[in-house]
Order: sequence, then structure tokens, then C-alpha cells
Amino acid sequence: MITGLELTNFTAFKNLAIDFSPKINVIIGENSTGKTLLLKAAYTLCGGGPIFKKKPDTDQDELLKALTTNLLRVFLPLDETLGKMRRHGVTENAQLQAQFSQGSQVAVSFHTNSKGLALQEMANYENYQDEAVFIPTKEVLSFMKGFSSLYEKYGLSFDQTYQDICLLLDLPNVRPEILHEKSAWAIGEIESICGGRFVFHGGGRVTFKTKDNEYSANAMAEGFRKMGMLARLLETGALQPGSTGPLFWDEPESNINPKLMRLLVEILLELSRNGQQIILATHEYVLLKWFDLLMDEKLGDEVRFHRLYKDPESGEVKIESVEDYQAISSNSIADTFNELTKEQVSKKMGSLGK
Amino acid sequence: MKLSERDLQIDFTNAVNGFVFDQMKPDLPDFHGVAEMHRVDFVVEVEEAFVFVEVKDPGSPKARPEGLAKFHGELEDGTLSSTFASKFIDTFLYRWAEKETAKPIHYLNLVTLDAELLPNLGDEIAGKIPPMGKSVPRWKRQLVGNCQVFNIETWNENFPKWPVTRLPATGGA
Repeated sequence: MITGLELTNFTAFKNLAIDFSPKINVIIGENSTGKTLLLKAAYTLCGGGPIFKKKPDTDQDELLKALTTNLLRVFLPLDETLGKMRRHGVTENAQLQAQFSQGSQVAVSFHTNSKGLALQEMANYENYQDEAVFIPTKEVLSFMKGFSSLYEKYGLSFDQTYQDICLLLDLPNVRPEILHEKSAWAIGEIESICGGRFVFHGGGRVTFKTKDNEYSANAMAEGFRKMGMLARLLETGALQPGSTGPLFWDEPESNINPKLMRLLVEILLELSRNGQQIILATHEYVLLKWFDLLMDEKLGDEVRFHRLYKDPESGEVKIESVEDYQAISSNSIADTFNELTKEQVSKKMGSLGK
Repeated sequence: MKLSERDLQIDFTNAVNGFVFDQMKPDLPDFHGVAEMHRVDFVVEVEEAFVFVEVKDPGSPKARPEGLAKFHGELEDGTLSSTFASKFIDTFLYRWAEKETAKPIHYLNLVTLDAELLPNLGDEIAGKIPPMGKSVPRWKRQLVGNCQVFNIETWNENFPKWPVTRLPATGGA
């Protein structure tokens, strides 16, 4: 698991340090405060694991080269150069630093003209091999077929997280005896609410099978496709509570109706109870509230809310982390509801009571 | 004009008139007398309008777990919004019989819940008050002006002339 991340002079962040909960982390904040950037930076630094797994004797140059490619492909900066990801108007280097379980850590930096990342610090990084999973905002089941080969061949305007997720979804099923009990439960719940299951035929071809019929995945509601992605990640063991790295999920709520959201939160809580670290970014009050209502401290649940905000004086993005949703000092989601309240009073009652 | 419902007190500083509408003690002024009808807590008259006020206090420090469970159950299954709507409708009829419906009537509910839950509850109540959100060209006037739910913070923010306060522990009506 990832325990901490510090970003300095990187994209929107002057200096931002975050301590992750080993269980559930919910990142909230207004648009353009950098929620997705934060997820992607953490995901990229978690990427050392697969590099070492693939080639255990990877040397430092190879590691930095691979991390540089990952960073560029995940962030897709203008001109595909690292320099475009450095914070504007500073002279210092940009730095990304992450700590992981068992004392692993890595810190890399770059300046405006860097061709590649430079290593600042590394400890035990080669031993951190838990593969992270990143579920991007858009579902991919509808365009998976052929996506990976097209992605490799052409400069598609999708970032690396889309290719990564497509590759994971196309893995074969894990053997039934290895499938985690809670994964099997979650898959069953998703199937029952969707009224069928997504079937992965390889090469990105996906269909949706009910008891009596089979349909194109594209015929299904987007929310179902999104839940189908979660079910598939569990089915292939790409997500295996207790053994996979963090699950990053950017706006899990998009296209998921409020009824599915409860199930989604129940599943995420159950996975976290079984050792799955979860880090998600959201705009959705309903999702936050379900976490608030369904978490059970007696079962060891822990949900840490991280609010990104722009400091009104300096304009810098800062972070406030709390364990209780109610303790968030200023919450743009709640503020929005208050704005609605005010607008209705003003429209229907004018200055009455003022 | 200060009106209290248990621990919560609202000071309608610019009220022309106002009273506890659900007064069920025969020897007190403004005795309601029809136990079969639903009743809001307060009726307040200001220069431009009547304001019906219903107060529910699940956020009270004294709230008991069984009471809270009942409240949340009713919130979830829609009983709460139905009851709120019935209170408005019956109070309106009562006031019509009193010939006291000549000004626009607003229905303001003070419910000590998270701000995020309020707009939905307000819309749910409004949807159960005739004409149930329908457009009825034959109607010449509306039963209710604004139907909305507030907690203490949003109430005070929106109605500075009608401040709500939570009275000290021993307070009451």
C-alpha cells in the first residue's frame, strides 16, 4: 500500500503532502484543485512494482526511463515533455515522492528541460511489488475491442490509465479456488443488480449475458458497464483484496445512478475490510454520505476524507485530511446545496425575513 | 415575537402576529380543538405574508436512539414528507375557515439535519401539497408560496430577522 505522497512544484501543486489511510481515502475538492492529478501521481509512483516484477534486475537507468515514460503517458503533458508538468513561475525542480508499506520509498525530480526523471531517493523500492489498479472516469467496456493495439500503434488521446485498465480487464479469470470469497460475493451482487453478467471473450470483445440472451456490451447502461469493470477486475484477480496494491478510482460515481451507488460503497467497504486500500476522487455528495452511513467502526472501517482547496490568499492548492466527513471545514459539495437553498428563498420569498 | 418548540426558539422580530398553532390545551388562548386535523407548530403573520412553521429536531442533543431510528425510517420511506404535507394542508383548511388566508402563505420547515439532505426533503414535501407539482391552468392562485426545509444554520443565514436559537438544556415551550 501507499502510505504517503508529496508533490512539490508539480502541476497545480506548490507543495502538497498527503498521508493515506490503509483503508479508504476519499479525495474531494472543487474543479481544478487537482484531484485527478494527485491520483495519477500516486498511481505512477506505484508503477515501480510492475517494472521490477517484469525484470527483477532492472537497474536505476532502466527504472527511471520506465517511470518517465509512465509519467508522460499518464499525464499527457503538452509537447510530451516533463517540463510542461513543472509548476509555472518557480525555479526549483519539480519533485514527486512516495512512501509505501514496509519502508519502501522513492523520490524523483525533473526541471524544465529534463529529458528524464532524476532519482532523489530510493529505499527498498524494488521490494514494493503490489500492482496498483487505476479505474479512470470513463468506462471502457464499450470501446475495449482493439483498443490496446490501436493505442500502441497510434497516438490516441487517451492517457495510459485507459490502456492499463483494458489490459487488466482482458486477463483470464483467476482459478475459482483462488478467487477471494468477498470478490465472489461482490461479483454476485453486481450480477444480480445488473440482471446478468459481462462476458470477456479476449481481444477486448465484451458481451452482456442474461439468463436467456446475450447482448452487445454497448447496449447496456453506462452505469452497469462501470460496475461490470469492477466485477471483472475482481474476477481476473487484478483486484485481490489483501494482495493487490491500491485501487485508484477517479469519480466512481460518474454515470452510476444513486441506487447502484449504495452497492458500490458496500463493496468498497467490504474490500477494504479484507485488506484492499482504496483511493478515490469524487464530486458526489451521495457517495460521501453512503460512506458516512455505511461505515462501521466496529468492523474496523476507516474512511479518510482529503479535501483539496485553493488557499484564498496565496492561491495555492492545499489539503485538509479528516476522519469524519462532518469535520471538513468548508465543503464545496455542502456549499452547493446551501446555494440551492438560498436561491430558492430568494426566488420565492424575495426579502421576507431579511 | 418569540415562539418555542421544545429547545428551539425562533424570534420573529418583524411579525405582526404569531402564535403556537397546535395549541391543544383548552384553557389556553388559541386553542386548536380539532385533534383529528394535522397541525403545524406555528403560524406567523408578517406584513406581506403568512408563514407556517413546522419544527423537527432530530439533531437535538437530547434525541433518543429509538426516536432517531423512527425519524430516519420515516425520512427514508416518505412518511415524514407526507406528514409534513398533511400538516400544511389541514392547517391551510383551518386558516381558511378562520378567514385568514388572504396573503401568500409560505411553509418553512426547520429540521435539524445535514444541509445536503434538506433540498430533497423540501422538494418531496412540496410534491405532496396540491397541485402535486402539476400545472393546473384553472387555478388562479397557489396554495403555497415557498415550501422549503432548513436547518438552524441555513435558516439563520436566510432569515436574519427570524433568528433561531437552541435554548439551554432545561428550555421548553
